[in-house]
Amino acid sequence: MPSPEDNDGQCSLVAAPGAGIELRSFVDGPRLERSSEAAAVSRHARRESRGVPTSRQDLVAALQGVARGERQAFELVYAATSLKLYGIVVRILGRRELADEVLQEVYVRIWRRAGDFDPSAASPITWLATIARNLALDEARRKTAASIEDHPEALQHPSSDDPSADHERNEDLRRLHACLDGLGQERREIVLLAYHYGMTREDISNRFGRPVATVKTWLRRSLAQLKDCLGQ
Amino acid sequence: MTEEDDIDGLAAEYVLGSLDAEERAAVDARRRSDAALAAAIETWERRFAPLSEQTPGTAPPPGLFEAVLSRISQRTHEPHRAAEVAALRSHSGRARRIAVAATALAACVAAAVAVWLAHAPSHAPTTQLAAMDCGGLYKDFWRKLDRDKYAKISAEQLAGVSRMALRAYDACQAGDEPDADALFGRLRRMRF
Repeated sequence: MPSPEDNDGQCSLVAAPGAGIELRSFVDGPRLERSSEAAAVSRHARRESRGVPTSRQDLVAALQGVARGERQAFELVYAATSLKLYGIVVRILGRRELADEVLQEVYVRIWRRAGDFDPSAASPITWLATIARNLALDEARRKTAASIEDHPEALQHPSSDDPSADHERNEDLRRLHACLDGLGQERREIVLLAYHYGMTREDISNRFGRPVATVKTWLRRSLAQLKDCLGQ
Repeated sequence: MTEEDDIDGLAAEYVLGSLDAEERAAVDARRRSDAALAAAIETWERRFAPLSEQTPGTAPPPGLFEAVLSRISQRTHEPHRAAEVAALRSHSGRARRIAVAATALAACVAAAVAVWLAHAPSHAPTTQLAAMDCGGLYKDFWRKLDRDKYAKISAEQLAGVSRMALRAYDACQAGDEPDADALFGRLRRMRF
């Protein structure tokens, strides 16, 4: 049984046939003390930044393990998703110290609510990202309006370089961007700023120098157009 | 604009994140009892999901997972919490069964406390029992409120805080302990 230190940087998650999951190479073997567990998890998280091949099925199995109260599964979910969820939370909140608090709350909620996850209703990452976005938006609405900096990167089409993204998800993303493009540059920008940075109508109104009522009309029309374009 | 359009537009803006604090809280409350709104929200979450999946990752600070674990095990002196943590740490079937039994027991205790609080005279002590003392937590929040700090924030924010405290109390009374716990936790950590 390899110890964490033996790990050569490859950490593979294997869905065992029938039931259960096994995270090879760091949580097996003798129980680790809390501090070294946490260190192992952060090592794992660093590895994840280089791309852990965690498939959708693996994540579904892990969440089901969390629902049964399995700590190994919880560690795995954290290692596989904390980069993404922190990215989402940091963008919306802007400030790290707020984002840290909210990310903790996100994982406490995941631990407690994993039993509510229904794989037939949503992909695991969608379910997790929704929890992260909702808690981040709740927090953002509570803090005094921070000045919104320029966010030019929101307006790019980021390339999808996630090796685990499957074909179907890439296709959904391509369609969504095609429909966003159909809104025209300004309205597309508004929709993306609201989604990625949680900008309210008032924030958008200040940024674009238009009345709040106009922004609301733009948003509602843009969203209705998006819905028609996506046809679902 | 028909009502159906309005529900869909509201759901879309809720998911997009463009609603202000008051509207967002109103949608949160309404979605619990309005199936059409709840369904519209889920559909919009799916429509926008590819954007979230595409968001670039950012490494959380080291030690954050450790903090999550200690947050989960914070109230180990409460019997149901201790069992929950035991399940977290050993994930044995037995511990899980104990956790389930203890949680059920704790829910009964919480319900009994709620009934007792509702009928207790107003001068009765309200912070004696461990398991989710809704009245105690709620009163505690107002007692410890930093009035100077709250006098400086906008009326809208103050209303938001009051609403959150009420939601926490309602969730607690309804037995939705995780929600109540999260809301009271947020109230305690509130910064302006």
